[in-house]
Amino acid sequence: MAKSAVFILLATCVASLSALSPLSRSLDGLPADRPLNIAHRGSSGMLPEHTVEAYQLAVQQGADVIECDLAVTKDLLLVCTHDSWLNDTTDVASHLEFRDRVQTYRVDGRRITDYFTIDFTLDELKTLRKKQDRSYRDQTYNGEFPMASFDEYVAVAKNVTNGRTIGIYPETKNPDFFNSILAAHNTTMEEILLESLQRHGYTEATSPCFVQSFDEDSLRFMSGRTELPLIYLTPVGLTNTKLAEISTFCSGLGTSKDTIVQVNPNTMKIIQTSDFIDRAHSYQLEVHAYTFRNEDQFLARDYGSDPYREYEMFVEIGVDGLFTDFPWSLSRHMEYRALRGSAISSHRLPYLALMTALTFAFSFNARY
Amino acid sequence: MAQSEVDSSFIGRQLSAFFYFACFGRTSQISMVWQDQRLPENRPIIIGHRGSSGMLPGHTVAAYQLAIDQGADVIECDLAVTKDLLLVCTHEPWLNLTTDVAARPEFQDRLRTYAVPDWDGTRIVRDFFTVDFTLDELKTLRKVQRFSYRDQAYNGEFPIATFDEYVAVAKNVTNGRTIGIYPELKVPKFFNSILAAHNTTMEEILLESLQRHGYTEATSPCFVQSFDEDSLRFMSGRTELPLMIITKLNYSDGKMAELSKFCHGLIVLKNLIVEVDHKTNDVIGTTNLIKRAHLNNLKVHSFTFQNEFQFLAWQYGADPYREYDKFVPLGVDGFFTDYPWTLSNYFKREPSL
Repeated sequence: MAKSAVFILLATCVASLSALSPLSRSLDGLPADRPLNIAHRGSSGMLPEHTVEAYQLAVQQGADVIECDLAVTKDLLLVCTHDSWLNDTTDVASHLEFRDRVQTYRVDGRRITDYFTIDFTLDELKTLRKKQDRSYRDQTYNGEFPMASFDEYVAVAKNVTNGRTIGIYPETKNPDFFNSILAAHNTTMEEILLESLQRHGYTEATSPCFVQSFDEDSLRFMSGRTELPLIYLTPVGLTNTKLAEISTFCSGLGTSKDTIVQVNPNTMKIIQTSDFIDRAHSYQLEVHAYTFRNEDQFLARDYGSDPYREYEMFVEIGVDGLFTDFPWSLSRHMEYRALRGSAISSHRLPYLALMTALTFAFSFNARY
Repeated sequence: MAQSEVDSSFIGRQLSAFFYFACFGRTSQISMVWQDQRLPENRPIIIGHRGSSGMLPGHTVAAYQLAIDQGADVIECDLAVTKDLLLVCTHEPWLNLTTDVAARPEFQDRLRTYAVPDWDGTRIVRDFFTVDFTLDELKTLRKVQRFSYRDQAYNGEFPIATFDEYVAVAKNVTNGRTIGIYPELKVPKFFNSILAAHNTTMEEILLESLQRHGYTEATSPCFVQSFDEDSLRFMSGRTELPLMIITKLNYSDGKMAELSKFCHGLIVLKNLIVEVDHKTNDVIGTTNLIKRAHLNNLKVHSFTFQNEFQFLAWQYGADPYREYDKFVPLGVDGFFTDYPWTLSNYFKREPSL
């Protein structure tokens, strides 16, 4: 009877271990044994987002991957910027030479009147300067840095001299909007991106490059034309049926933190953790969570205004990557975890219980 | 005893030890259980400022206990005196900021105006004052979180803590460690102007209480703090306990030499150690205050370390650990923090200095 009890215990522990561990991944040069530190728009907590400076700082601060949102220019080139419109994050409004470029477009169901990248050549965009659009962040660098082109962004990733591999993570943002204009040029945002990725040498299933989008069609289109890992962005949870479908052409999901650890927005207290990661993993989909920010208005009260406690929660749950505005903090927390070494984290407790039970069972047998 | 019985109890102990160490892996924490009754000496001490006041209303038993659970070495208490000459822990002698007193119809006639002398001048304050309430009456009030950006969920739940209750939390055997206390003689000249009629002083009331609780030696785990130099001079003539003078202004070398005759150390605003420009929120530079204090045989404790990003210079990347990175190498001997969990986590991972 003791032997079958041990066997049942063993089987349970192995099963629970596999459900709770992160998926193993093998993109060339990126760490496979821990979640990825993905610098969201570069080290955007400290420097204006989507600038070469923010990307470089992210790399220095320990990010494994730097993330870039794409927009298309008038001359069909790619730049990194969160929106297709420019006034929020640049000084375009103070450039009198461009005052006739204001346009109204429909983007993602909203009518927006602004300056749009699609109406500027890359050279013109390069005369603009970035500003920090979050009032609670450092305004010191406003007007100092230019926009980053996709090529410059890739160069930051490739230009690492200490032997580390830095991954890239471009997003096809509002592809419907851009493609409605690019149709006149007989091309698409996806084709422009794929050509650029090919030119830069990102072509294999193991290349250190994720391509992400909220737009399923965009990803489906690209899945027919590239081996690169595709990430489907979804702000809410997905049914198992949907997960199964997505898994046929994507290697993972990007989802909001709240899908995984639900927080009451009024009390800012954790309600519960969901089974989303486990379900995604069961369909071989890795999960990258967004967006981690140090400022206390983004932290559930349970974390005591300490972003490292939030990181710990998500790493323990088994997330495969974290989009963070503060890669410096995430890399410090991961160092702390590595230092812990001998401490047993919660998802290994079943293993520990197993070893204890086995030890006891054998000593029990030895007595009699 | 039969051989098999000896074997099984031995195995049981081995398994328990294995399980404990494997789960928690903190052998250093285990050794502290059997150390002398002293505060840590290989690293700066963690002082829970008003308890774990970042997460719970400050100066409540709950906040004090949480601070200890979260790794604080010392819990801090600001003193006020009641009508019946007892000590409570609360940051001001007035109550409206941190309690629900204004909503209590039975106490509305207690509203009074007092002149409150402090280190930086005299304030005229119209409010409800502890000196006009007995301890029993104060105990009917409930604490609120005074900072709007902190958790309001516990408003109305916890009562004011008495000094005796605060000490009891520190001495609570289940804590497993030596927890220091750190009472502050707050605006003693104000309280003494009222206590004169009772032929006593705030200092004497505190001394009696500390004696009763057994805090009498230079090595007792207890610091007494005040902005008021006269108060500390008075105390120095009557107790061996380490005295700490609080300041928001720099001290000359001469002043430090004078203070070192009766003070164990200084409690200084963090900006006096690492200067941050209040307009730009940029670090300007570090000062030599700690060096000079140490040369004068004075310890340096610094206040107040808070996790919220608005208290962190840009250079720290909204990361309180990076602020500790800046201060620890400068030789700070103790940190007053509203977030003891974070500082405790920091010291667990950073190499000791």
